[in-house]
Amino acid sequence: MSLKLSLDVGMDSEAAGQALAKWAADIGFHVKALSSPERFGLRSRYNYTVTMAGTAEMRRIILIAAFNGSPNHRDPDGKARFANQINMDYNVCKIAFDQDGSLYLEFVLYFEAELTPSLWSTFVTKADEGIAWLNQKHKAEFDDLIA
Amino acid sequence: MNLDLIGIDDNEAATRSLREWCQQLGYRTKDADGDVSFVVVGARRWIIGIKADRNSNHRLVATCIFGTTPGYMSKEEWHKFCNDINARLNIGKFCLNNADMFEIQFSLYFLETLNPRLFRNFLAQIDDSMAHILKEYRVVLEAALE
Repeated sequence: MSLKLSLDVGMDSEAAGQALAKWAADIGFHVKALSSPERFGLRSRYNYTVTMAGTAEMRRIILIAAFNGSPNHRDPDGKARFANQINMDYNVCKIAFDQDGSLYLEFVLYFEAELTPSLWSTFVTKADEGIAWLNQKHKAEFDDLIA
Repeated sequence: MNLDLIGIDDNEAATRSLREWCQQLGYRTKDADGDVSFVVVGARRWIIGIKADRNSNHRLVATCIFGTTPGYMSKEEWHKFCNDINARLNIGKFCLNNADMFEIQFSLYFLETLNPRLFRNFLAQIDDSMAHILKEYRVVLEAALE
């Protein structure tokens, strides 16, 4: 039996996302169903929300780690400036703050009809390592910005 | 004809191999400013490079840069604008760079090999994403971009 995730052309993003959740659980990842069927939770070094997007020819897995914003930090200009600095300086991921001040770190994996366990595992590991690295590199800012 | 980067864990060597491979696939390329990155000349001009690591993991990074109209938005307004797009859309990464240029960046993760279809589909999809963004934010971007 192949360990690859194979997605049918006819699957929409929601069905593909559900297939990904089941497959990830089958190969040993900690997966959690969420109230919204088009996404699921993934527990690794950090907690992620996973969504599938794109087309049958080119699927896109979006992995997002979210952190509540600190109530002590109310400077939206400073947050936007910091986000821009990180997004400009590093190729690690995309970071953004929402209107409530929560911080989002986003990683995207493109693939076609099949996904191998090694690429998926590498992707999740790189996300874990990327967040840890950014947090270490900008510890003072993250401590200030995150609850 | 896959791009084979088995054993290549050096950014410059991997990017050089990618450029040769792109040319073999029929893409027109030209030098980019500054480093080994190169430009794929197509509907958009994507500046492309590879980040390689010691475990044979590779990330192709494609960046498109636009000049901005001086004075149209302050730096603070640009930062907020970029943060707003980054928060709203799950496509690409947007920022104002040190030269006050508007940058859009996409990443493609792969392991040791990259197949031509995935690369072509990736370029097509980021072209589409770019068109979507420019349409979605047409009012701002037409005025703000040179």
